[in-house]
Amino acid sequence: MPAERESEPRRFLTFRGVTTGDVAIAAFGLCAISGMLLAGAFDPRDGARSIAEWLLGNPGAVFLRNVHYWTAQLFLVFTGLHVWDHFQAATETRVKPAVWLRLVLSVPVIAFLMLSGFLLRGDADARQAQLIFTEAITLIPFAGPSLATLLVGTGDHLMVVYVQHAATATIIVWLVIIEHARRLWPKSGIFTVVSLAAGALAFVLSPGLHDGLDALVKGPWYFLGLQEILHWTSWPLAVLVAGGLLLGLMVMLPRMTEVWAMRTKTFLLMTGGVYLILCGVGLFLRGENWSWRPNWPAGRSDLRPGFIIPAAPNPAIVIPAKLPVVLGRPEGCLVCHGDITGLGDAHRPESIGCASCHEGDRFTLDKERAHAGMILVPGNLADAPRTCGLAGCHTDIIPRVERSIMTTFSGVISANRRVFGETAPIAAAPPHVRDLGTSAADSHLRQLCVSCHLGQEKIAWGPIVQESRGGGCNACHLVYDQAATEGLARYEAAPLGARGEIPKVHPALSVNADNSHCFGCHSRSGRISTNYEGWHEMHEPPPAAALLADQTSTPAQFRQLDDGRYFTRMTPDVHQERGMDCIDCHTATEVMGDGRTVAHKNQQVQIRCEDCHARPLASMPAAMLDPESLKLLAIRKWTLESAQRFGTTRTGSALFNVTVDASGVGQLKRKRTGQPAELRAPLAVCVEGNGHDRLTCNACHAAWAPRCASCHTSFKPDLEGYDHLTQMPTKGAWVESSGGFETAPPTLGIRTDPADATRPQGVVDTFVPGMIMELDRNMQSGQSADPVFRRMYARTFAHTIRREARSCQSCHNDPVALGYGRGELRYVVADGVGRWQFTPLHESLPQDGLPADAWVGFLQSRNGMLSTRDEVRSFTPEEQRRILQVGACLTCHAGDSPVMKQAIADFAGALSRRHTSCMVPSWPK
Amino acid sequence: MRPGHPHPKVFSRRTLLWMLASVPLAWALGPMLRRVRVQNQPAPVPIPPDVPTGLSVAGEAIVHRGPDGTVRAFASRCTHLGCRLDRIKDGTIVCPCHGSSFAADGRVLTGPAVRPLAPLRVLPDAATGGWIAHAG
Repeated sequence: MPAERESEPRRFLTFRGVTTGDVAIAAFGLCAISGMLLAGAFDPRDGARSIAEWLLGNPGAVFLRNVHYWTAQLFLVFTGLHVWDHFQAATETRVKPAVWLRLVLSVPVIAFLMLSGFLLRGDADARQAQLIFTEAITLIPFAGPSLATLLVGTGDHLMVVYVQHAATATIIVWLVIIEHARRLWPKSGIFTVVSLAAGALAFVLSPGLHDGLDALVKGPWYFLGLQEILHWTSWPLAVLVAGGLLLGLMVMLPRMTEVWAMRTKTFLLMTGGVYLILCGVGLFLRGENWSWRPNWPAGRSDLRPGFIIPAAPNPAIVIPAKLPVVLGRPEGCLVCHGDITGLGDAHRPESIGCASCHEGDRFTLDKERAHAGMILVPGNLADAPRTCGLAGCHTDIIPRVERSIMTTFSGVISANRRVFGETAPIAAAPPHVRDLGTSAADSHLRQLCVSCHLGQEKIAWGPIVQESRGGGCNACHLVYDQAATEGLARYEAAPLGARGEIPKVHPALSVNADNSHCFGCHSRSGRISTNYEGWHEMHEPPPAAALLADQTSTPAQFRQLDDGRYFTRMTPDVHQERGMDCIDCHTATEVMGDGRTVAHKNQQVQIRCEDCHARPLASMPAAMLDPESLKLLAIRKWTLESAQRFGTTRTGSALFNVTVDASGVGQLKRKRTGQPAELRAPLAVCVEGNGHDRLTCNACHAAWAPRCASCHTSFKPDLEGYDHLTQMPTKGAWVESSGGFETAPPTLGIRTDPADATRPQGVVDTFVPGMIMELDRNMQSGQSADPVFRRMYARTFAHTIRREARSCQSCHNDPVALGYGRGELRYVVADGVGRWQFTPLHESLPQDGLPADAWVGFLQSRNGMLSTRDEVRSFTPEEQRRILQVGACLTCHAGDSPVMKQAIADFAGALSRRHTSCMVPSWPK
Repeated sequence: MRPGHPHPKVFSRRTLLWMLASVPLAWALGPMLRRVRVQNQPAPVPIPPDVPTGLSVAGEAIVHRGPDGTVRAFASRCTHLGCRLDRIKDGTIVCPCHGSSFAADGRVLTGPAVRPLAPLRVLPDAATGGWIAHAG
């Protein structure tokens, strides 16, 4: 017999004569008593609801639940320490084998006792844990399914778990304690101490309850190590086998030699230590979907500090005997906010509660606690996945919006980098505003442009106004009606520090976004919102006298926006005159994206004039309407008849507000009002002959477009700028200025569209000067100057469509239309020879010798960077000659004369039949 | 041999008796085994006619509606350890418990799961104009 066997066993770890086992027994006893007292108020058919009701209105039950929780944790921890103690003391040889076997087997029983207590919470955490536990037990060969049925039952309720937890497992553990400790009751002294400690903890630290909304799902802390192990293995059965082997090793301990027993115990204790570390990993380093996300556990299921008795409730609030229930759980928010109105059918608080959108704590009537962590303005893209994008709500839309160009800003970023010469490889993914760097191009955008993307956070309540930027879903869907606006005004009217009347009318969340939602961002740059309404920005404010006189004139000639800019009245877009909103043309798919990441805006915009005005209109049957269109029809309560046909865009997307009859004639319904509108067919001149085949509708029907005479971009290192992305001031500021704003019918040029197989040579489209300037790319860095000259026009869809088209001369005889810039374009016949001559208004710039506002030289070609986009260009000399050849005819013949109408159908024929006095142009060699 | 039990045995008679008795006991529990398996299959899941294009969660089913309108459905249980799948992230189905992810066609994209999602039979529902997803 080895000498070690004769050595005196080590004494247990004690404190004032109390062992860890004594503490564990006391905790177990108190846990059993508190559980017994809770039983009457617990409904195992819906544990989460029982607990939620306690949290909301039964502080006594909350205290007992907390005592039950804390004594269970104490029992577990001190039982573990007691096992350590026994291992140290090598007591396994001093008990009968059967007693030792029962002690070892009590380990999984204790694990089940703890886990089943967690399952009885019945919340999202517990339901997932129940599924995992059931599946894992079922994996045990042969007996697994039976064992799973025995332990957790077969239904969704917790009746079997409740019985096995409260009776079977508790009794087994108690019997093992009695057999092991040879004592029926805990020592009174330590029982008192444990009661005081658990009671103190129970008053200030409460276990949480998953609200069914939080995306984070975790098991109890002592099983997070197992959850971590299971994350790494595809064979859960192997984990069960490993657990069984560990138990087997424990069973075999008394049969081992002292040396092997020590080695085994060392191994078991080290395994336990590693397991605890893994529990810590799961607790502190794992986030949603078990992703790696270091955090302090502060989820809604985690421990919550705070005195369990709520602060004195508002005496004006009457707590109902039956708490309001939303989504299967009591919703404490509605006790105070149950009278909120204003939200539509889909978002009624009675249907989805408050916490679904605003978070906070729905399981308390304590105002401070309920509002802690609340999202005042939900719907920003940063929180949209856990508010608007919750499972069962708009889960499918949020990723689309996150990839849409109004979020990524990719078109603006690409264009700006191109101007600065910071072009990314063609193969690179479209840029995203969140990834903007600190280069000259990117810091220029950060300061001057990126307040407009949808990811910009809306942090203050209130409607979307002219100076609103971003706001995620709110940018389009937040609608304050009059009652909501007045309620907010009353609240804000309260003196500083005083409590205003809480608004009772919630702003609506509507699909019927009016134009004011688009106006803030789209009244800038191309200014399509102001163009649409017939307003042109003035470079200088109007004279005071003119403003004064304008106050009494109807309609007013001037308008000042909230940002201070003045506009003068112009002709509005015909669609605006007809009462159409932006959303009447622009579909949900193109506004929110279709899930693809696109590089430029035109890749996301689907609608074309022809989609509504062609004859016959392309259409699809009602049966082929996509789900989103069906939903939008249903929201508007528009009837859908099976025989109806609906318009489609060029990409085949449905226009659910355009119905098309058998002859291909369409009718549009205004989305906000449901009022019908006639969709007119194109004029004969638009579709007859082939002379204008390549013209887009807006080439002729865009009445005017704003133009900058000149622009300047500079960096002022001594000024303070503002970074809209970080929302922090910056040292040095980018400054832009312009020589003046003008209007003119847009310049024409060529745009090729790879998706348009019918017109491979491209179409004639509309353009305005984009930037004609010299830019020092080293302005920001302060290094030696690196000037680069840019002469670029940008494609525009000005949103100034008129039914009447621009005149033939305004294209064929106009230097601005042809891209030469302002000046005099004359057809001169001298000595029997006709020649076009151009005298520019502006002087030529030294960098390229072209007039300051030109896109292309008179009868010249241009190469290199013509635009912010590759697929557009100015007219070639040959194209200019062809246009001007017609222009020469128009110097004598009116555009609507018979001969010019014939020329549209057959220009060559008309030319061959010309009168001898007709002088066709001669071109310089 | 260590102190405490001078006459060790591999099995006592009582242990052997229990082991022998467990065989018919397990056999008797067989029907219960089958019952569990049947009950773990999801009940028929109604899919509304306006189920969105792409992936969505409809009760105990994951539904994928293709651009051409075809509808497929899978049991919303992770094939790793049975967690309820109710998260769609970046066009994939993600398990909230252990982080497995699945493609829209049910394929495993990232483990620990190794088996694809269990497909459900999708049949038209004349009453609603939608579909009903059946197990098996």
